[in-house]
Amino acid sequence: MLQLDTVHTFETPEGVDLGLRVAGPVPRALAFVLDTLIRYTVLFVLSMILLPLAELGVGAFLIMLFLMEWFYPVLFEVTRGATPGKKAMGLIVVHDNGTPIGWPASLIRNLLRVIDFFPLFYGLGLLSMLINRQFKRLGDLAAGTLVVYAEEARRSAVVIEAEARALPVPLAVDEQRALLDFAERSSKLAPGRVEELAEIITEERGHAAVQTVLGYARWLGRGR
Amino acid sequence: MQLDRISANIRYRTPWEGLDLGFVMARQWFWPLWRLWFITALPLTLLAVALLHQWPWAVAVMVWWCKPLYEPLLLFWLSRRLFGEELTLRETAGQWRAVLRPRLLANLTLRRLSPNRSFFMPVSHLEGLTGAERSKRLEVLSANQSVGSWLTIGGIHFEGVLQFSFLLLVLYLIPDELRPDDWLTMLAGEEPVSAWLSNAFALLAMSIMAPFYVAGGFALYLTRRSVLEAWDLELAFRRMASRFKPARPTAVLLLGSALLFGMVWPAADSWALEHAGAQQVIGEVLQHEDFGSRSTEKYWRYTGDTPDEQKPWQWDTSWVPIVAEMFEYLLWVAAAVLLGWLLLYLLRLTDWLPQRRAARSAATPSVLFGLPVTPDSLPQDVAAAVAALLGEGRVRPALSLLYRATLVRLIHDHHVQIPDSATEGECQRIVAGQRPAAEGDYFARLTRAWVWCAYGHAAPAAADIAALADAWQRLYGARADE
Repeated sequence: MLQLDTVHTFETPEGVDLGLRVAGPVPRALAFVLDTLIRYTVLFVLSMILLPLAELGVGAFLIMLFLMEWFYPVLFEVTRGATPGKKAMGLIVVHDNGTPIGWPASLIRNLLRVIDFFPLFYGLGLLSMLINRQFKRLGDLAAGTLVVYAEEARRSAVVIEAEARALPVPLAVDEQRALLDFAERSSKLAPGRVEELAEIITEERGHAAVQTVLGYARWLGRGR
Repeated sequence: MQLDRISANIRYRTPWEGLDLGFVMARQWFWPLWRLWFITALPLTLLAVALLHQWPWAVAVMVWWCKPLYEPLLLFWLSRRLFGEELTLRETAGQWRAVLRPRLLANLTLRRLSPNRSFFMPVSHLEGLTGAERSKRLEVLSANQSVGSWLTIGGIHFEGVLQFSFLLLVLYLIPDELRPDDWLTMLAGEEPVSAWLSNAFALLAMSIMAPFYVAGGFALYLTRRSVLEAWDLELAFRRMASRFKPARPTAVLLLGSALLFGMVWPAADSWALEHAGAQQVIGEVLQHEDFGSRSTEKYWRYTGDTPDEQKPWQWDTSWVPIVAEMFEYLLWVAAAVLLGWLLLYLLRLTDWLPQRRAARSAATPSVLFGLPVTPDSLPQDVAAAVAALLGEGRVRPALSLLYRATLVRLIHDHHVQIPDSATEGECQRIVAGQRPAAEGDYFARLTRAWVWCAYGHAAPAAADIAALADAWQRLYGARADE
């Protein structure tokens, strides 16, 4: 059955599937706006300092303008993995295979902004992002890069208040993780819903069922 | 419809990722959604054109304003398609009355400018909630995040970008000779042609963005519900259930009922709480920090003007020319260094530097096809050593020594360049090419004898080897004594 998702999986030579959670046009556009604001704020401050300095100042300002326009994203992407705007949106730029982006790819994807900008305000880039399966603009296609979410959705550490209980059956890793997730998130769900969930895998009912499942989770957690 | 029939991967997502999932959905089913949008949008556009054809801008505003009229059908189709039920356009359009009705008036008037239009639409159209219930529900769903508003803001701008991109693209494609000189004033002016062109592209841009906007809001809604109701955990648990409770297949059966997903709000009865008790529990849940937050906001308030007594301050710029001159010299130096470095780089690439060539030729091999070929590995007097070995009847070591000695002389005294990957045959060709004919012939004879001996195990007569040793003494012996 068709299972839509935003994850781009890359299989390493070792047979490990890396899941890269690709970011779409809206968060990327917001990151771009943030970056633009930062860039122009810096340029504004620079202009206040440099422009009064006669011709030297104007020359230096023009050089800074050039550098900020073309190398601001490159510098941040190569050294930090993402521009400040992208960082703020929780995004990071990587190669198609999930490795950190290097100079060649970053230069290509940022120099090709000219093409993406065509004909107006990233019209072509937007269309490309809407059409492409991995939300790539043309620069990303040429450079072989992806913009992905950097961190997993935040989890909170919780103390499981239940008596540890041995699992009656062996479980795969992702199934064990589901049990631990249940323990972590059960305090944030509606109590009735928690019982309903717990009753799926236990014979007991109500509060006892929840305690049993929490006990499994505690038993798993202690093994880590 | 049940959760295990959903054709999207259910996992724990951030709201942003939920939004992106919507864009994936819209791309997957773009064409049916796009056509569906025109089912309502096209008649309305034609109506607007018929009514307001004197004022092109009014047509644009009216078509834009009536967006809430086109979107519910898309949402309806999408919600069915996501759970595996593919309706045809005709079937969907046949239900337009029921689909469009909820909150239509409010959506077209007071709520038209609500930034959460697409995010909230599933609550009123799919859950069928109204009034206080609806606003409570919205509060829960939208707690602690504003992604729905950002979707609307992004959508507006994307639409604008697409519309003007199309318009500009057409202008770019007009040849220079035919293009009016002041096309910008033409666009801004009263020219009806450009106004209608702009309207047509606006309609196209809206139709392209609409599926993404509706699906984005819908997926955001699904993501929020999936987090609040732990759909991912339910799916995982149900997959495990058969192993935990093998004897009770019926237990799995009815759980989907909690997620019934239609024109009624499903979850209220499935939690199996008494109504009175439920109120209290809902109150407690809503008290939890996840359903709302308190924050202190600081802001600037204008408290009046303070008189500015400072004199306008002048920069002292007398030092600027000096710095500028220094800077210029620095730039020249940098340019010279760069040029020099480039030259050096070029030379190194092209092998023109003498020490580079020397360095390369100095890299002589120390082992060839398993034989050590360094001067140290040879005895002082090669010819005598060969004769001694022959005297003992050890033909093979004698021939080996002779062959190695020849290679060592060629490599170290005559600087014949032999790569360490060369075979015997290649060695022979290199020597024949670089040394006089006498040496080439000698080396050919020697190689043949050695190859026959080493690989063919056909040892030559001792007399032949003695002859080769004599020849060696003539060719290389003198040099060895130096």
